[in-house]
Amino acid sequence: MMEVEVTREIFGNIPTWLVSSFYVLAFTACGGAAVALVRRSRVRHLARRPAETPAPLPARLTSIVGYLIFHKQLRRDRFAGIAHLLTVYGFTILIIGTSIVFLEHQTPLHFFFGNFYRVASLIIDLGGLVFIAGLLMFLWRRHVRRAEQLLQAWWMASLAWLLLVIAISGFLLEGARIATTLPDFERWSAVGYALALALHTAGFSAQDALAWHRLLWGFHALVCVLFFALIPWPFFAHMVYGAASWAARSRRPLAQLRTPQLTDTAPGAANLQSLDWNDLLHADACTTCGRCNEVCPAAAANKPLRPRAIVLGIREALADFGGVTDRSELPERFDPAALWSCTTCGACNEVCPVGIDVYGKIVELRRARVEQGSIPEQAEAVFEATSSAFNPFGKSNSQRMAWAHGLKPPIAEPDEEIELLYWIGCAGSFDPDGQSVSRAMISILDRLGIRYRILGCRERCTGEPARRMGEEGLFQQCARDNIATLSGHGVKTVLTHCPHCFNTMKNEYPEFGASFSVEHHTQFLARMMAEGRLDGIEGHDRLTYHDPCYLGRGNAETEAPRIVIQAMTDAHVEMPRHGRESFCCGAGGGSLWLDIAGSDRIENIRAREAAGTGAKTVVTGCPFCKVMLEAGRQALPDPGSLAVKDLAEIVAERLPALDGSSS
Amino acid sequence: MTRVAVVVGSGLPLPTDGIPGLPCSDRSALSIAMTRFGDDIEVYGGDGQARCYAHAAGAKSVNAFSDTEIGSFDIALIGRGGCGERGDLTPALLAERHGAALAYDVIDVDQSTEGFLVTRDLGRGARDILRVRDPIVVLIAETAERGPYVSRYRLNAARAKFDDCAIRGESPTPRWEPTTPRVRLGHQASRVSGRATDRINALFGLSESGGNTATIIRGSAEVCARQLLHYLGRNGFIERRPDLEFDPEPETQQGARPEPDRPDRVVADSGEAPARARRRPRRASERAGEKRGPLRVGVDPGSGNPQGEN
Repeated sequence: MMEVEVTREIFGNIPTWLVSSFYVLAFTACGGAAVALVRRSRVRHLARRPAETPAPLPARLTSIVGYLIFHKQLRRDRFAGIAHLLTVYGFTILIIGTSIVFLEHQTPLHFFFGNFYRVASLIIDLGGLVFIAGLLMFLWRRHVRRAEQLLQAWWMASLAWLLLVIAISGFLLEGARIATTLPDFERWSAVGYALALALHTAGFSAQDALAWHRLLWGFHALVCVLFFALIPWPFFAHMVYGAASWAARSRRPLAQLRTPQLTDTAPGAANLQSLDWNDLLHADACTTCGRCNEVCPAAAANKPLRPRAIVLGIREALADFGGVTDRSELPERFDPAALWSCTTCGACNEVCPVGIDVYGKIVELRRARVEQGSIPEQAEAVFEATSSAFNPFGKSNSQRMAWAHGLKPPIAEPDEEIELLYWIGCAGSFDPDGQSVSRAMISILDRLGIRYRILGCRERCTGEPARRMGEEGLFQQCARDNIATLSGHGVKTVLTHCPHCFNTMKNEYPEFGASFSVEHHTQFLARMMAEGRLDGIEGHDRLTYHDPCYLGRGNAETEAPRIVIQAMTDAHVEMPRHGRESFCCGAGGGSLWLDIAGSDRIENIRAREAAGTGAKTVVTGCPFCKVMLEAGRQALPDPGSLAVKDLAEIVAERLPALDGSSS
Repeated sequence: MTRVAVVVGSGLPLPTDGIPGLPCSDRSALSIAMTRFGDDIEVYGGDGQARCYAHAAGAKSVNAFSDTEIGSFDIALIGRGGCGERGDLTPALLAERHGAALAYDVIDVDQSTEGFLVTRDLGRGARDILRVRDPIVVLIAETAERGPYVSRYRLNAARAKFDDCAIRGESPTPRWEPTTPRVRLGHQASRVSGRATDRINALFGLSESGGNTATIIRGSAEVCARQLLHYLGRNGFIERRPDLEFDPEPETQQGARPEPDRPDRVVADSGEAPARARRRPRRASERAGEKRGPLRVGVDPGSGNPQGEN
């Protein structure tokens, strides 16, 4: 007896006209989609500003493959990440299965039979199941759980529904095909065989199955064509642009801003042409998942900012730009209060599944506002103060050493070579909360016998607040002046307790010629700890640590402060949001001065979170955070239950005095 | 077509040791003029920085302003900085020269069919609106609404056109805190009438008609410091010390010279005195950017830690 060939007839039972129609429609849909994508790409090329140099091609390809295989970035939202992973894995398997069928049918290759057929059928069916599971998770999240961060538009669920229809119709089609003869080897097509058995049990004859098979094939082909045609549509396009955006993401540290060349073109995103290619790609790549909104401190305090709206606003502008003649101003598309609510904490960038630089765009829009001259009064006051008094607080710079009353920090002589410069910063010089940190650091440095110098009244603002608020010209002036001062002393290392100064001097000043290394005081203290020079500081009460955005998230330094804290206490508790996922204190991006009203206050939210850990002290590594947390502490029902201190302060408190007695 | 002149200047340094900026009223004057009358206005800048600012703010015609000479106008808006060293006298002189009406403390100006509507700030929230025929000179108040911010990028771009701009942000020397003369109001001012110059001089006690018989001190910073100590000691604000006694004879009137052989330590000798008391101006022998800030008294040469900085 001759063995039945283990395979199936491709396009069996399907009339030629239907197959031909399918191919015509499929090629038309794919061609149309390709044309639409290319046209969109050409619009993006109208962006005039040169894009940042991307990573080398192999690195980008590796990045895409790693991104799709491991889904690490997407899994930051566990449920959505797993749903997406199942969907992508299932979809990929089904696409590979369809490609196998296409190769078998349209090429001289003949391999789709026997054991390969059996295994391939099983894998494709399992892939289909995984695919459906992922889609159902998405739909459950949207329609049943009603996740708040999702964009509530009817078309947002259309992709999931369309793919679900494709997957289910594919299984039904397979079931109808198997039901016609019900061969035993089709048991490997587990789902199809089960459906065929069900149809058989329900009384479907072979003729009925053939008729249903033809009908389902036509329907399945039609929805597949529709899917191909809709790929360039905004939400669907993330399948193309999302991975591209991730691969082309910036290699800068998260807290480092792009430096525009202040030549003939004014800085800022005044219109679409003043953005770069990547910015416009980001606008298309946005999946509208809302993770940026979810982590945004301004949104949490119910301020007007929703980071996703910024990206989608640019997408809208891009859509309006289709006619090329529309050169409408970009900043006018956004509520100024929304733009000035951003704390530039970078949480949106950190969680974005497709690597969109959200807060970078907000700063670009702020820059455009500054060039237009339409800025809040407080911002203008900060610019004026930075410009005229060299500090954003507007205090006389001759008062810069007021914090050191009673201390004798060594001030650098003119032209003195400096190995280690302790950079106090404006908050450390003028703000009472920051001044206590400066004093603690001086105390530590002196007790450890570190040779260092400070600049005294010659220190000036790094320009960081001005830059985050959009005054790029002023920042660049500050940067050049400071670099000239530091270069004049041949400074080798700058030590600072301000993460904002740290980030600016470490990441942004090198673009203006700075060549010194920069160390944050938490890193310095951890180093001293490793060298055994901070022994005897243990025994502190229950502590929790607040990661400053510009240190933890912006510069990936989350370990050093914890090394010191863990040496001080066994009762170190973490807040729910910590490390790179930390929640902002509300001071960054000039928000210490710009107070945009919300229904809550960012610092109060964070202080409540800190108090919720049961810690008696919340420790931080930033004078701005200290100011804000102190304000948040005052709003607690029991302000006395929580103390706010800088890491340097608690170390200085426990460090034995120079004479050997405990301080 | 309304002929509009705007006079701006960077004015006195800020009451800090920073770099002076354009006063608020000058910005407002420019902003009001451009908002109400368009950018086809004549701007007169008392110094390079003011001209740069005006150009960066969008003014098309920017001229130098000296000795209160400006072209004919229907309305002239003057900022505090634009008044220059003459102060309130400047708008008065302009008004006198051009036979124009004069209004102080103006916070807004608008055009009407019969001339201009001038809104003045009367203080404590009160204001009045005057209907004035041209020509008119208005001094814009510091409380007027600020104009749009002019970015550093635009200022730098404007600097390319004006060579005489002081480059802001590059001043190597912190400034000393300026002393503001206290204006004598009341009976002294009301006694005087006549020309605006006389009135202003009388106000500051600089004219014979003002009845002020005090001696005008002209001299170096050291001479002035000695005079101040002398004054403080004589009036019981500080303890009088023989070595700080001041001989006004050789230092009064023009041509007085500082005494080179006098020691630096003319101020209090206590090491615990506040830093401000030990400040001194930079000596001619010191290079720019060197030994700035407070006087370094009792410095330990090896420590590099002058007490004055603490």
